[in-house]
Amino acid sequence: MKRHFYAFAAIVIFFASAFTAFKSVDWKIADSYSIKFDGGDPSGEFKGLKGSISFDPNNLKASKFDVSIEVATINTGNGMKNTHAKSEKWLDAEKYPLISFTSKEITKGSSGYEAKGTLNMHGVQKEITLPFTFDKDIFTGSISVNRMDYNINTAEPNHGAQIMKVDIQVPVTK
Amino acid sequence: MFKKDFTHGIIAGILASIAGIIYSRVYLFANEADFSKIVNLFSIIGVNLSASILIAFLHTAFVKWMKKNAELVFNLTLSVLSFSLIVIPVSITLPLNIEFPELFPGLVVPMLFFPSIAWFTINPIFGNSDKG
Repeated sequence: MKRHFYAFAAIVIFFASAFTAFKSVDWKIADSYSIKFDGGDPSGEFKGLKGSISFDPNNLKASKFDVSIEVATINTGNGMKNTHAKSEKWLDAEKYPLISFTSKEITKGSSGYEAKGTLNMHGVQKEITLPFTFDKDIFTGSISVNRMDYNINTAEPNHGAQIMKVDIQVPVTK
Repeated sequence: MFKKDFTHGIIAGILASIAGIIYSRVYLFANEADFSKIVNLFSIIGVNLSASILIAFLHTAFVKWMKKNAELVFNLTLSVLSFSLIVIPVSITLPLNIEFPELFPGLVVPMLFFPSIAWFTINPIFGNSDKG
């Protein structure tokens, strides 16, 4: 009986540990996140970050980001600019209410990690690589986005900045 | 001459401050927008008193240097100046931690006229009328 118990326990532990090898850690986005963009003029931030973050530094294959921000939450600090940014001419918040990123692969990078995936903005989908670090339960990353690549007010290439530096900081909890 | 204008300016500043404080409270209550980091009791009193004293300086200068139509030109200048200041709250970029910047001009634009309205309101008391 005892011999059977140990054999059974060994099998259970083996399968349980095999299962955890493929399961990543799910994280909840804390409210104190910040998504700031800076193109000189304009610069500002987005709110309304939602989605799922599964990340385990020891199991990058099972890690995945599927997140989005609400375009209507854009804040440049100026009401007039906010209205312009949300208008049809720029981000068209009514037609394209979300900017989303879905990772396809997360790998180790030169100084942290790299999430390769699809950035969906203004109805245009582009493959991007988002370099990021994960330290003390905080994801920190930075990318440059050229609005011309996403057909955002291409009629006026010199009206405001074309390239925006986007700084992302997302504290998470389990 | 300036003593009278200075008193005029101080009283106008106090009246404009009272109007500004009441208006900001009403606006805050109506819109639930909090701009107290920028527009608060101290900034309202400070700006209105400074503006009113500046108006007093301007008035003294106009009356001293213009022999004819000094009051008319001063009143016109003050109105145009107040109106042109609208560009400041409309174009200003607020800190990102302040929500609803769209509502900021609605709070500040009317206040821009308070010092000149207060000045004009008590003008008859100080006997500033254009004698041509």
